[in-house]
Amino acid sequence: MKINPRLKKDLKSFLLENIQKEQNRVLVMSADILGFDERQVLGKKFSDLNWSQADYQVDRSIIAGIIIKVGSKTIDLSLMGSLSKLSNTLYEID
Amino acid sequence: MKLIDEYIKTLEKELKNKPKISTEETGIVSQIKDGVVILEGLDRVSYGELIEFKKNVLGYVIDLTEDEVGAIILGDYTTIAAGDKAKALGYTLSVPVSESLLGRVVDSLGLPLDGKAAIKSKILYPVEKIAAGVVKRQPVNVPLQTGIKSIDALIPIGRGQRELIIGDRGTGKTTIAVDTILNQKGQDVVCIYCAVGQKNSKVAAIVELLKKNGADKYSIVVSASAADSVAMQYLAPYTASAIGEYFMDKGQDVLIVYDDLTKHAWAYRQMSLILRRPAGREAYPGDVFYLHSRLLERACRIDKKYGGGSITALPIIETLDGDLSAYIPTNVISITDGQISLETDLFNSGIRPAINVGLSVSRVGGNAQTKAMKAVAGKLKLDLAQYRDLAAFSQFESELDEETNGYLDKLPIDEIEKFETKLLETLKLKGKKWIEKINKNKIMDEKDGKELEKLIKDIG
Repeated sequence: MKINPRLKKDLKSFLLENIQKEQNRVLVMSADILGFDERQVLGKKFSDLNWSQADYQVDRSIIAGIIIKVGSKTIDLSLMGSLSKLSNTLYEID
Repeated sequence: MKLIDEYIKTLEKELKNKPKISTEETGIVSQIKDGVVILEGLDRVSYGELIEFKKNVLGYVIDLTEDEVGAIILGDYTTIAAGDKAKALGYTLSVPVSESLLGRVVDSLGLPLDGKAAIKSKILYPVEKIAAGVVKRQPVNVPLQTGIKSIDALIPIGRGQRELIIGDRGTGKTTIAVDTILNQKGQDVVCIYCAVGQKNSKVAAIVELLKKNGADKYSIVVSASAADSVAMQYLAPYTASAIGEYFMDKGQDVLIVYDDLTKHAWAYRQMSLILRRPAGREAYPGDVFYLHSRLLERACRIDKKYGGGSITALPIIETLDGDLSAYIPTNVISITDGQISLETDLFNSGIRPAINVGLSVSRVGGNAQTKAMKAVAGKLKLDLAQYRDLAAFSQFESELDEETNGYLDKLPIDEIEKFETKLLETLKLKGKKWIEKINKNKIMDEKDGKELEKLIKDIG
């Protein structure tokens, strides 16, 4: 059975678009549920990100602060991240 | 109290500053195989980049597919679990290099294995580096004496040359290499012994031997033993090369022994098969030639204009049953500037080092031989070949011609060793002026030759 090449092309572009969307999706992880004001502040601070479809997750293990993820890019502003950085530095000194 | 006040002040200052915002490339471990992990995410990672897992375990990207990243783990991979976070560090693998490496035993990452302090240096050299180009190079013309008569006379090695040592197991390959290191005492050559997939006991014995002979002052051992992960074994030769390049860039001569590249190819084959790369002949991947050619191409002699210095490479290859036409041996033979071929039969019949003169060549070393050595050894190879022919004939009990110099003709074979020590003694006593003259000028003229001939005849 032969597939119509136009169909194939359309499917490919649709999938690519989907992947692109998925990659630009913003995921915010915080230790506690973020209030409306806090979300507003975030939106102002990182104005070049697409906040309309942002996901908000709660992860107690980061102790405090937030982690913002866009695709494979991560902005780590959590206490846990700083602590692990510190422990790495201490390890290297030893 | 003053101290605490100051400390609090600096802390306050730091807290007032806004936190630094930086983006990181992150991914998640999806599969773990023997020494290799497959990661998801990490969309913008580059080939050869370092990846950090938790607990200070590092990975090295060697495979990039459409939606996955393959990395080899440097160190212990048993602590990594599926679902772990991985962070790209944004720089490629490099090792700290400094003078303090001399006399040390390090692993593929430049970490100490001898229980002494860590190597601290601000200078880092990349493990993978493209070799020096044509413009920067200079032909090989300075000898590197191995201290083994048969090699220095018949298969001379020059500084900047790549001379393969090839033979079956137990034919004395490592011995030749280590003897060469020992002979560099006082020659201002930095020696690096790189053990790949060797037994730890063998490496320990070599380290001990170097120490005993005072060779540890100018040598470095880079070891990735059979117990280390294949990733470490794969990287060890490149690390040794990077360390060598540091000393070469300072204008020094360097000798690197890769012991051995067969096991290096095995390690690479294992990694490639785990990464599901298409297997070729003997199940080696397609780029196994490049694996060794890019390594050995880094051995070179740099032109004086660019600082001089050289890296001489002595790679070792172990053959099975003397089979030089297997995949890896033929590859490395064609890459190197000649080979020293060792044979079990010769070894067992008491000829040590068990060099097969017919199969051994040095393609560039001839220019590096001193003129005096050339004058003595020039005809040697031909004479040996003729001897082989005659030896075969002599089994038919026919008469032999007297064609050679004939100094030792009347001597029984078991007295030759005694004759040699006597000759060397007399030369040291009576022939001092000739020795000094030849060592100074590196030339032996006809007059000197005749006088030396007389001296030799007097001993006989």
